[in-house]
Amino acid sequence: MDAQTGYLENVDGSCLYSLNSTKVISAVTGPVEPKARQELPTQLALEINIRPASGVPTTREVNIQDKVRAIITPILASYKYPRQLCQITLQLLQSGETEPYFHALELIACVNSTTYALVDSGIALKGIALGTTVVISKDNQLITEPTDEILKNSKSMHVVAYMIENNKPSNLLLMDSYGDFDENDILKILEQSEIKVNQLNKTFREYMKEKINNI
Amino acid sequence: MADIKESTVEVHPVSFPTDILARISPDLSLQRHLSLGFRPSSRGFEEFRDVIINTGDLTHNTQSDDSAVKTPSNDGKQVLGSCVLKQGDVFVITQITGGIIEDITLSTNDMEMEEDTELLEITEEHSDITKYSSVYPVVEINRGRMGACTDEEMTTSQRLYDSLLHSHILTQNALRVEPGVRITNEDDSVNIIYPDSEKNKEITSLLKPKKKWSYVLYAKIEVFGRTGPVYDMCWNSLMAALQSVKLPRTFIDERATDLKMTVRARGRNAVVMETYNLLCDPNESTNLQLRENCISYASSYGAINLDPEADIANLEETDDVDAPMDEELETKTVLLADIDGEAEETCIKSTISITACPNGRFKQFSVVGGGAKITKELLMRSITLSKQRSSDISLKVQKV
Repeated sequence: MDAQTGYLENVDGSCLYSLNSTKVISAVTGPVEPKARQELPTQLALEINIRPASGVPTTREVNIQDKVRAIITPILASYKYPRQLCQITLQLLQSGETEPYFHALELIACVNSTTYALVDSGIALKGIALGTTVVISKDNQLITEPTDEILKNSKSMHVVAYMIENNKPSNLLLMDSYGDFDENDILKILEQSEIKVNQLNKTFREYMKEKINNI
Repeated sequence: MADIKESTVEVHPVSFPTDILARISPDLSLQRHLSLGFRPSSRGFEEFRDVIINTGDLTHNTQSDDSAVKTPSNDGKQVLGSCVLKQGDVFVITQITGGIIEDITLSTNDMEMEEDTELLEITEEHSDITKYSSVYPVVEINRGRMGACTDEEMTTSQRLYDSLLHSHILTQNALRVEPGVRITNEDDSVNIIYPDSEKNKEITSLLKPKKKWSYVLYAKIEVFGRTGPVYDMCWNSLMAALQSVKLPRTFIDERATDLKMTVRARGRNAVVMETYNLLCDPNESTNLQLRENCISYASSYGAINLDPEADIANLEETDDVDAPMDEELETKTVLLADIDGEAEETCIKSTISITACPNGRFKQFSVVGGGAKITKELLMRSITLSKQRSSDISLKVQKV
């Protein structure tokens, strides 16, 4: 995993994020003046745009956008910015997975990079959102951060994102699973992903600490 | 201050009819209902809406007049399978249509080229997912206005596509076209031979074209009278419709089996084009082979924190009997099954959607936890309910 904040100059917050062969640039602009139809009288409006690595955005990107929104909305201190807009644009550079079949790796890259970019932008947050992909292979092994090849031959795949408040995972923000699995698998996945998210959180904190020290 | 206290100010409580309050303050309305132990729709917390499922009603098999003998087109006129599902006040109509495409990756022409065979083997060997197929769903939620499709329609369609693909219900093999051959006998009588029996297989394999085709299925899902989230209804309707799908049998006229044409392209290269007139049999059809143990049905749940302030028992202070209940309610989160209605949809930020097989396996599971904290207990309860719901719906579909 590699993250580099402040990658773009003309936005409030940005991040170049890569994990295995998935690579994405996220840009956060806000709080800014919204268009009339986006404006919410009491809270911050959120606009998310995802651009695929190749071609034009399709229903697949709209679906990822919808999930990123479900994760990001609860972490924003949205009542602090009434009648304002936060614009998040995610440009994928490499999808790292077979696009017609999967979107799990891109979704997680989008979520994690957005978190870095949001912190970089200085928008008030209630917590941060970090997530991971876990697959169950045919021999019932749990594999976190899989590659495309592992995804293709997995029995089931799971995207899990947690909200982190006070340095520990507090709330399950998203779990999105496809494939063949039972309830024990779900519990195992939640357990495993919480451990992984804790690690990601540690990396995140170290990165931010170093960044602040260098200012 | 003292002056103000002494003067009598009459405050007239403003009251609204239930349905108007529900629109002005959906949150309060929902909380008031919940504090009484039921939901705005007067259902219980874990009560689902009734489902009525009817399959195959809209399917019209192709007529036998000559003009109708044509390849299935995706123009929506030829419905291979259908389902009308009614859940509460919502109607979901699914029509499955189909088309035939040439299977480029697996065509025998390509097999002859050595390099490609290797490539084929590599992909075949290593990826499971390529063995399975999906249908192409288009969800249309009718709201009485025209315009471009909404985000909800797009995400629902995409989710249906992904779930179906990863549920492994439909294999590539089930969609493979096994064309028969139409033979004109000496006495001008025409009959079609399908590769069903060994003897027929011999004849057809002699005349068999080198190319391979597969069916492509499209699902048009129309939602009428939307009152809440529609994904689970669309999935159930699609599942029921798929089980009613009958694929038309196809054949090639014997004269066309070995037809080759030389087409001069723009440059100097002459390309040999093969054309096959793949025709659909108006009378013969086969059932679409689904993987039975992968048939699953969806249900949705919401989790919401009960607001003790909105508790009616709290407001009526004279009501001492209910007073001890308040403390219990303070941190209570409840699970509501089958989210429906404007108030529930807008106020409930934490949702669980489960697609379960009647045998207890899951095919799709999604949790969105924007609002109330989703605990292990809530997850487990929703899992239990989803299994029951799945068996119920599967019985209903089987009855049809």
